[in-house]
Amino acid sequence: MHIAEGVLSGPVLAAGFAITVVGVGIGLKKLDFEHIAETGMMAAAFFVASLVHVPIGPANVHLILNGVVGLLLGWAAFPAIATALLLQAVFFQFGGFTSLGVNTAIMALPAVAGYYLFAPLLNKSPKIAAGAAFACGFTAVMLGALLLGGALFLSDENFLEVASIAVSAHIPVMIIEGFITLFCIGFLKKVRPEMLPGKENSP
Amino acid sequence: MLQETFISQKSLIQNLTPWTRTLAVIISSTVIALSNNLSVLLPALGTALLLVSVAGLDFRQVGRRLLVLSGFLLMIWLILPFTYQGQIVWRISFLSVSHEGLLAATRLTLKTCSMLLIFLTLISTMSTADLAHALHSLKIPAKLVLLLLITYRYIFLIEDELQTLLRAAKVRNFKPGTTLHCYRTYAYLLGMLFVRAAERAQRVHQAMLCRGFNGRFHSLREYHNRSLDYGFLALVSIIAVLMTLCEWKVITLPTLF
Repeated sequence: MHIAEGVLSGPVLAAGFAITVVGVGIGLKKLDFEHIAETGMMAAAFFVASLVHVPIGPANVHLILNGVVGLLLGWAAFPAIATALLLQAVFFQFGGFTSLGVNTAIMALPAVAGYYLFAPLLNKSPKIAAGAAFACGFTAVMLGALLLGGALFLSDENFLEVASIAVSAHIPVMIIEGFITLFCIGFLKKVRPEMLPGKENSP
Repeated sequence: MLQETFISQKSLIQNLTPWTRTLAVIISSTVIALSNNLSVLLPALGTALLLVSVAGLDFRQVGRRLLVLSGFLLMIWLILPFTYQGQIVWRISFLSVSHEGLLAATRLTLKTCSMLLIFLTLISTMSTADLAHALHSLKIPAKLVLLLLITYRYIFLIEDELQTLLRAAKVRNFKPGTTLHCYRTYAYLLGMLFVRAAERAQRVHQAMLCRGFNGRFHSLREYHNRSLDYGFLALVSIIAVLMTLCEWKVITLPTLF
């Protein structure tokens, strides 16, 4: 989920940068040196996870996992996602400097939103926790797709059709990411509960 | 496998410091991103292609990177000419092609291609560690640069672990398909990837503490800007100013459209 360079208008690019600067600023402020290695490693895992393609019917999609990253990192998702996206630009030329602000905002805002909306529910009964994990993966991609579509539409009103196709193409991804997040969080809850929010102090 | 395909080419570009190259890309891509005039964008693509040939990059590899854009550009060309409001130049039964739509699609294609090529030649040809130090000297916060360096250091290892996990799944006769079982397997696999990343992070953090880490990575290579760097930046700035003036119609090139 990224927008190539040279597509969006100046004001949209500037707005993306403004959001990203604020988000990364908050994320870095909350990130102390105790956790910097962990965040860097999570950014690396996030980068690598986006190389995984899962099949859907005859086609396949690559995973985004911004919901999982949001749950694991909270506000630190902003710097982690910005870093991973910069590396994607360097390695695969997915986007570049000018679109980095918008692309980070598209993926990291939903991640932080997912953290605030669904992290408190993960410690409730298993059914609620599972529902919350699915909803987190689903909405993180949905919000990201809507932001992507919005960025296209605000750049040029004639992009409406392109934007709506881009958003609807993400609907199957939302469902897949919902299930992946559900299972992934369930797995982490069994194997490494201290990685999940609200469990930092338990053994 | 993750590879830094363009890093080892010896060329004039490699004589420029990372700082110069990063600054040049920031200047030029900002100007191109804000330009809409074809008489600016065509020369921009020409300059980008010139840069690629100066850098001596393998054209086949570069073409493969341009293919990354092909899906998006195909969508643009299939949709924009028919949906863009404007003067209609061509009608095929119920579909009508607008002049503005064709223009917009051309503009987008020129912009994305030239910006990708510039980024590829100047940034993807340097090690990310050098890029990180260049960003640091361009006033990017030290903590973010540190994060970038750590992430860069470990993506190769984590990718290796992903391959190990995928191989383990394959050995157990895992076949991807559109089933819940498949998604569960991938989710557990990625969960394991995150667990291993967290464990590795803990060891790395301890190792950093042992070595008295104080929040700064030092680069062994030192770069000093030479006259070549200043000359290159001056050239880039002059082109950028000319393009801006052209975009604002202060000066006019022979227009094609």
